[in-house]
Amino acid sequence: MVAAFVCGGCGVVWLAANHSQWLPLFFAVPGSLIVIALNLAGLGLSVLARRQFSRSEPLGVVWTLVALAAACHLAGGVLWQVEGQGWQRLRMVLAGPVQSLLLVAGLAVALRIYRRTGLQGRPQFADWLPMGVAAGFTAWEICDFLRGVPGAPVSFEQAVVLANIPLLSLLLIEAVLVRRFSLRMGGGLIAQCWGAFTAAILVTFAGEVTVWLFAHSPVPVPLNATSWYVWFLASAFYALAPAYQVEACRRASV
Amino acid sequence: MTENRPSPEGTYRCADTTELEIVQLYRENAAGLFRYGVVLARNREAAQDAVQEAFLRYFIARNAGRNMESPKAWLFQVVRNLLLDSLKASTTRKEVGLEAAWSRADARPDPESEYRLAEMSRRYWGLLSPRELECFRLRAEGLRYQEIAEVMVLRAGTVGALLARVQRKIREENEASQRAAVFVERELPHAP
Amino acid sequence: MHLDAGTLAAYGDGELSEPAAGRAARHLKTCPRCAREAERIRGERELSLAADALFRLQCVPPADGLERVRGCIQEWLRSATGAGGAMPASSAAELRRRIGAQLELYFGSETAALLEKVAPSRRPPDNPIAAVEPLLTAFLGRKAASAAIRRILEEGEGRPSLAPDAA
Repeated sequence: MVAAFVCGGCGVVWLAANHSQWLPLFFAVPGSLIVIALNLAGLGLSVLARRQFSRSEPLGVVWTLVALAAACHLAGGVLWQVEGQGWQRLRMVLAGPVQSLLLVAGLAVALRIYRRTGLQGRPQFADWLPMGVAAGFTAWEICDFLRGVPGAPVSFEQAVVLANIPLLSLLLIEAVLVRRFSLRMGGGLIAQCWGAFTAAILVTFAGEVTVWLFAHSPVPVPLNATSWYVWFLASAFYALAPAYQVEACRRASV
Repeated sequence: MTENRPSPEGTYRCADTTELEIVQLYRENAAGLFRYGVVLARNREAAQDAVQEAFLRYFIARNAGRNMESPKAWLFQVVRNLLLDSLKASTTRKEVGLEAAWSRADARPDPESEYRLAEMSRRYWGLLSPRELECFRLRAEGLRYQEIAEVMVLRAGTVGALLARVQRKIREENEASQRAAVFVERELPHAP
Repeated sequence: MHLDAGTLAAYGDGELSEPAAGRAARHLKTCPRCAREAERIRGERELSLAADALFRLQCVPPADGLERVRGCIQEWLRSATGAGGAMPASSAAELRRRIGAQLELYFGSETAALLEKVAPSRRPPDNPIAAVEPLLTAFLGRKAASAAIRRILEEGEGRPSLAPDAA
């Protein structure tokens, strides 16, 4: 599925370079439907994963938060189609800081579960790199905002992005750590679940960074295309993660 | 009583401790498990076999170091699964009326008790669906709603609804039979 | 809005969570209809338990049930431990192999080795199941972990596995 999307993305980039009149059509209808379908699948699978645990179990809390985040993600995909400044602002908030905050809380609980097992290990050099980039980018963005503050009014959209980027960075750091802890134990179904989460968050972060860069300086085609089709990949990975959890529980129960 | 066994590579815990635990659990729960088995299977022998097997499996699991949050619920769940599996697998079901399955093999009840048992069987237990009967039995044996939900694979809310339905059916049946008794008393001529 | 029969039954049995029980108690103080229903349900419960009393009196297990269970246990111990009274090393190794296979499926091939290395004081040395049960429960949930452990134990004993999700 990932390979199909990557190929699709490359196809989109080629089209953009040569036949730009098809692009808006794709993203307006089939593209949106694909994203909504993926988000719906992600929500359904997250709810299914949540039902494998009782309310008192820590991973039950994690999947409750993930399911709520998936609902926000779906709402964002649906509201994208609705006209009106109010609806678009709601979309930005739900699919932005609210979704990120829910996932930050969920992954924090997951990290605590790993620590309790005593098997967590330490981050490797390859983990420090994305964590460093995330922290650095957040610091840069905050400085950039503060430089522009005196006298300049902050728009709603700017405020939402400003709130979301630090949350996304924190989320990326958590996801990298969870993935490292799970990889240390080998490549089982649970490790693949957290790997898919990390991929989703990494892709989302890359998309947000590109959008931010795009706003600050023109990015040449086809590089700016990453901000177009990266959301397909993110939605696909967000749907894949709970699928692994559900599969693990299903195999255990058979 | 078994002596302590040396455990190569530390595989099995002391069998003594587990057996003591089994004796305690048996004294507390065997009668309830048996009654539950009889309600499920309508057969004393099948119920007793299932109870025996459940305690053996409990011993095996505990001896290997397994911890059970609720041993009572665990035992009921194993009895249920054993009996449901054997009911599915058996081609000829030695099912009997519930009142005959109840009777103590070692002592025939007096005629009055036997009559009241048969009467109750007809009146109450015939009204209830197998699920309601099972849920009522588990509650009567002292399991909490959450434990009943785990044994029967239900939501805890469904347990409350099932029990409320059982109680309502019993009350309605009781009222109907009281009305019938009053009718008989008033309307039918007495024997000379 | 009135309380349904299931909620009233759960309230009467003390099975509602504290916040839900508090809400129900407050509602019953102010709603005469629900208060009457709760009273009626309490009466019904007493009636049904009275109907059950005769059944409990008449339906008892055989008197030698405990002896039969202890006999089964002794027989199993004899067959599991062999004539010499010592645990065959093959059984212990087989148990570890089955545990390792389950851990590899859900977590990965390094998990069994990591569990051995993790502070031995964290787990009782006699119980390999006790070492993996918390890990399985944490990441698969109680029901799925229970089923996985049941499969590890019972398939090795040659006892038919119970279906589905049997303790």
